[in-house]
Amino acid sequence: MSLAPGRSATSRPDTTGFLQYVPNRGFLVLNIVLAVAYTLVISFAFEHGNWFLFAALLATELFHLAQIVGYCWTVWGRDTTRLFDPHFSEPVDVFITVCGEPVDVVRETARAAKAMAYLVPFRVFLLNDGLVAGKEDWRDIEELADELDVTCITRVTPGGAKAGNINHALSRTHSPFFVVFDADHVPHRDFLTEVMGYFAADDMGFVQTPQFYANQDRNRITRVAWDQQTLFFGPIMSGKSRLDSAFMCGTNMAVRRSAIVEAGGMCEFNIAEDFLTSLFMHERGWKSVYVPKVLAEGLAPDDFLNYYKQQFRWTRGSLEVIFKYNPLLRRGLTTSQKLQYLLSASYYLSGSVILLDALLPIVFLLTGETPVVTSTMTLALVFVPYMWINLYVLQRTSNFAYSYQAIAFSLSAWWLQITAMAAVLTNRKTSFAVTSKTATDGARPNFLRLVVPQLVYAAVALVALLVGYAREGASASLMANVAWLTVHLAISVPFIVAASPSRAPRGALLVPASSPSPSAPAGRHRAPTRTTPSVEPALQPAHD
Amino acid sequence: MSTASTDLLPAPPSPVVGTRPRARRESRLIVPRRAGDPVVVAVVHLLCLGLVLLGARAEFLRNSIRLDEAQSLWQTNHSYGSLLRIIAEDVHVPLYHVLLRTWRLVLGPDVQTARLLSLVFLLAAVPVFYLVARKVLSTPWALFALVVFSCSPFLQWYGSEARMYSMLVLVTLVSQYCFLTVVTTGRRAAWIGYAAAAVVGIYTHYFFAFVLAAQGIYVLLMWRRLPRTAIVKIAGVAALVGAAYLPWFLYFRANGSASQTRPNLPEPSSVDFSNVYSQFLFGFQSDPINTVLVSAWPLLVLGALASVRVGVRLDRATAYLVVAAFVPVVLAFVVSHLVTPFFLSRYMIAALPALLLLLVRFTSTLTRPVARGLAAALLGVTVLGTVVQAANPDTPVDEDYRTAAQLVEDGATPQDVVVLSSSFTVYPFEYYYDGAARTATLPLWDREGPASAFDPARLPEQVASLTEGHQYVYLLLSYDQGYEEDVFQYFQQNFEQSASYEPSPGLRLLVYRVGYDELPPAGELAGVGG
Repeated sequence: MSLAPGRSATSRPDTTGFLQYVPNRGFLVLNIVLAVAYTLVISFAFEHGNWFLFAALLATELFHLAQIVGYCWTVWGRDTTRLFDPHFSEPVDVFITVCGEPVDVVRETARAAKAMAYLVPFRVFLLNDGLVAGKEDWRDIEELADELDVTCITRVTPGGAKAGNINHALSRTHSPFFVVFDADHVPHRDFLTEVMGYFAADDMGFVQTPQFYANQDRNRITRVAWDQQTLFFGPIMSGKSRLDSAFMCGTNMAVRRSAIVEAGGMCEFNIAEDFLTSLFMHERGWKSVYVPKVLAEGLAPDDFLNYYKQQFRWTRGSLEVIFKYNPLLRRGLTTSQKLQYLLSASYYLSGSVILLDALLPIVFLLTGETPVVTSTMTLALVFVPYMWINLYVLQRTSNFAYSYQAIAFSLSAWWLQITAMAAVLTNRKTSFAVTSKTATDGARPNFLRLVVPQLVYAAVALVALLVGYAREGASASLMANVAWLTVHLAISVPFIVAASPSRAPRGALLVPASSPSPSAPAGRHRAPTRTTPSVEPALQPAHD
Repeated sequence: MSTASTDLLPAPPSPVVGTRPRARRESRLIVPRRAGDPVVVAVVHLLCLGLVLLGARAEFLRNSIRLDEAQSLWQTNHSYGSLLRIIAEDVHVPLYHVLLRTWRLVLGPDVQTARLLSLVFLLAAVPVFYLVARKVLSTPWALFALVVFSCSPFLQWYGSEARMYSMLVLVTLVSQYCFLTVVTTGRRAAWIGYAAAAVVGIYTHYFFAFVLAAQGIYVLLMWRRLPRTAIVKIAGVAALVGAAYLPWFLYFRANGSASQTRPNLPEPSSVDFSNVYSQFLFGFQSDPINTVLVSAWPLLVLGALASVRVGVRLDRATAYLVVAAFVPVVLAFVVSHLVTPFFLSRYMIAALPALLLLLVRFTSTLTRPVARGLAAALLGVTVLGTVVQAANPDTPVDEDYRTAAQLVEDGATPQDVVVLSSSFTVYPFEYYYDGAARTATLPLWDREGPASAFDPARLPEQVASLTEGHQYVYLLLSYDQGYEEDVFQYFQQNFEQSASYEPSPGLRLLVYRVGYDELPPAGELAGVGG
């Protein structure tokens, strides 16, 4: 385990900084102006080269422009005053979804849930999917429920994954409200008192709170996973809440039963069930609110495979929304909601865009073809300020909680996103042969198979560089494209390094192989973990 | 049911007052105020002073006189009264020239002595740069920045040129140090220093106004966070500068507003803009080298990405550096397009220290191994730039009038004539020339008043008057003012070229036979070059 520089093992991660974004509209406007200027310059200022490449470049730039404008619009302001009743005391059920997580992890969450303060008594339920998922320890959860004096609802009929688990629990409970925690998300004592009062508004469908990773300093993966979350649970969700478009994130949320019943229950036919269920609820006129306070603390995916799977699920689920439930065509949504859902889902189209961008210098080096022909520095003078302002806006809006590693991981996920899109378009079901292993001696397991596309890109780039140099010599065009190539390769380095194996740090404690891992994957979806010694991981999409 | 409104978003603490949430890895953000080991600081200062001296002595002080230097010498050969009039007719302000005249009167008239004054200014700038660096950097990084500053090829060049640019750097640094002090502490001494530097600066170079403009823009951007008294005092300094400049402005207007002596500069392009920063960082490099360097601009994208670090904020002093490094150049670029072109990298040298500090500040925020690697690369490129700039015969700003004069002296006879175009290049040429042939300019110029404008219709007549009765013309073409090609083509089409030389890039010496009374003496030059 490695800690972030300057941190001790006992230091607590900051739970407030990422939530304290103050919009600076001057920078947002400047960002949009420079983005538009850059797009116009690319489109009209230069002689066009190869028309196909130019069209590809223009498409990517328009995508970026739409994302930037959408982002600036989202974070333009924050949610303002909402109706809140501190004395709200309607009955509520607490659901803790469990599917094979270590019993100790579930115990901690259940105890914390029981300890939550509320004006009236409430019941805690362990929604045990261990049996239907074939987990060996499913009986342990039932014993844990007895031990803690909470109710265990064990499903015996599979289907619908986590959404099915919740729907099953809804059919056996009766309170007008329920809250959901993943098994590894430990609620604070004040969760209910901070959240339930928003249901004083009769049309409030659900309340979402941040998904905070308490183990963010465990290793590189947890840090990156958290850094990526800061942007989403900082400015983006606050902005979405302002536009009544905050959506459910699967855990740390409270929901009105009648609203979800009206929406047809938790959506069981999409891998991003929370996202789509939110859409259905908004479509029926229910409101949502995002409370920017850390009221529960969970665990980030702690190895590359779990991170990869989490991202794959989010990508696939979001893309399914675009291709199968296009928000623009949904009738009950407001225009803001349509655009917000589209923006969130379309982010995952960026894999194709990034690949196109990354291929342009290679195409030049191999063929000499370029999208635009320019001998001036005009492109640089427009692009460089635009890029810097764009990144500064990201930093400012995340209250300086975002990181290069987070960006590098996002940009390097192009293959993941492309394969997810292919799976959606071909309507293939995808599952993972779970072989993630926790290296118990502190070493990093080998996940290089997951970054083979990035390694292939690097190899092709090297060949292209040789071909380009043989043709051009050290020309200005060659230098510019080599510089671009360097940028793309440098961006993929953190991703590749995170997937590569490493030896255990010197002096690391040897942990018995049978010791349970202290961490479990978290996020909007659970991912089972096993604690056997490290073996080669595999990602195997299953086709049926 | 009782309901109450709750603000979803409790106001975050103001950046100025109140507690700030603990940020991850925040320790990297704080510039330690510890002064560092004074012995180490002193040793590095001595090292840097030595580097500046070494650079100057190694190459630059031995360079041929340049056109601008020749003008400096010619101007400061006059009495103080005449000097002020000449400067008022030129495109500069007088302080440097007054100092240079005094310096030469005391220490000697030659160009090496004149260059030493610039070197003194650069040496004096070394400790001041460190003081400014300490405003944004820890001691080790500030010392590193100082080493880079001392090795900078651009500064080395102008620290050894008999012009006012190293003085402009020194005054700018004093101004920046005082400015950063007054906006944070408001100390009385700093205010006095700031006001004095502003007045001195505006009499050092017109472009110092861009330094003040950058400070003004910074104050406007930050006015909500600055104490009201600071803003009032800055406005007071602005008024003081205006009042101090007024006498010179009136004198300048009375002498024609330099309407006849402005250099003929083209409107700057995006390449010119990029070249300013390329020259700031890598010095004056040949076109092939510069093209390669500038073409690597996409790497700036990587820099932008790397700057995204948890908890790394743009503090006030760094924000000022951003403004100081870019606003003067952007303003000059814009004004050059909107009013009149005057976009030359040396005019904007005041932005260079801020740029170097910004680069080092950026480097210091990266992870340790990356920061060390980047720092080594920055220093390596800087030193390499200085060496190549000094040693490469293709360095573009290297005006070798000394070699040109020597070539003419070796070949020309009293029957020949030396023709210099542009006209004002007669000053650097005659600094070295002591040959038998007489010198003249094209267009013709009697050296009294502004140089004559070029008239293509009068070219044959003027050339005829110059060549009449002579055997050979030694045509020295440099400092193209828009008509060099016309002159060259005229000679090519009407006379027989017998030799040609290019002592330095952009400086051509061409020998034409214009009379046929005797055997060509230029044949003696045949083995020299051509």
